[in-house]
Amino acid sequence: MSKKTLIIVPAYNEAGSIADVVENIHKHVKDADVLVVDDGSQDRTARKARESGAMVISLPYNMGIGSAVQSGFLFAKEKGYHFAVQVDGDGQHPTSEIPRLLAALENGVDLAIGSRFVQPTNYRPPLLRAVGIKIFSFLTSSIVGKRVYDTTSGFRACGRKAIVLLTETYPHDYPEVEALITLHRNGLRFVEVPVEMNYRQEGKSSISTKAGVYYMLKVTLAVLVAVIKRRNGE
Amino acid sequence: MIEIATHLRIIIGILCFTLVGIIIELIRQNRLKEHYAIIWLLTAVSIFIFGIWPDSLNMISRIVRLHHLTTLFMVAFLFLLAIVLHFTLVISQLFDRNRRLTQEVAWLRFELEQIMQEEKG
Repeated sequence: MSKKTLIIVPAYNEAGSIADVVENIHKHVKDADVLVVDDGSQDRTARKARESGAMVISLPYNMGIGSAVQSGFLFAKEKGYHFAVQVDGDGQHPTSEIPRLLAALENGVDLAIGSRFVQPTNYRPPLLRAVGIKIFSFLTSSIVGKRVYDTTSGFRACGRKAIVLLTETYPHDYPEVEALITLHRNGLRFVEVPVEMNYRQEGKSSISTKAGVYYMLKVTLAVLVAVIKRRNGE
Repeated sequence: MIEIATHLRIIIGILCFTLVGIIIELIRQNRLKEHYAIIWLLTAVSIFIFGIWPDSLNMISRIVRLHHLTTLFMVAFLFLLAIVLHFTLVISQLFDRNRRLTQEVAWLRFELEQIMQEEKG
């Protein structure tokens, strides 16, 4: 692979898992740089990440996952990376699948989603979440004009065009669905690559029920607004 | 005709001039941006107009067919609503700029650490 690849790992208080994630990435992706974006963690996330051989950008306060990932995009854009892959710092995303996402980019798409629902997997989301996932899938599919199964997966690889676009416009919280609409509206193409994720043992999600309601409302509104938003540079 | 007692007009007049005085002083001390001062100066001017020429309120009342007191509340309410909307716009813009600034600072700090390490090693 001659093209420069950056693996962006947003991490908020992930001192327990970050070293494993970084090591796994190095194991599965040979010639990529790993950038951990420490999103204002209070624990030793930054230090652990640095010790495991990653580059670390520390945000001065907790900015939210979207802003953290966007910091990575900014870095990738300025440093001239061709590809940027987003991998969560909690170990949920299968680093072994990164090469398959990159292969999709090599084939000329602008963004590849590591998708849980294209093929039947072992993942059984709780009822409320399953409903939300269905709604976003339906909304996105109708707007984009093709079937999109997993709109909320944060396991993604971006090509240069997507990096530049998302550096300019990326929501600060719950960014995944809206970003797809933004890409579509700007004429960029994305595909889904089926992957099997590692699920948290305790089943504790970062999104509580109360936050889940906000998530639904915010993302639905954001998606509808994204449709009528002006394109970048217009 | 709406009758306003002379002493009330004087009070309203003093109020307006005080408001204008405060705004000008705040701009002078660099504590208020001229851009945002415009809306406050307009507030003072409108209060002044209603104060010296209360019939203007009557005219609006006739147009919207409300009691003049209700009209007064309506005008004040719409005005406050506009100010709040304006503030929300400003906050959104500040949010975006603050976000980019923070990201750039974090990135520059990373670059600085790299350079310092190279010099050391």
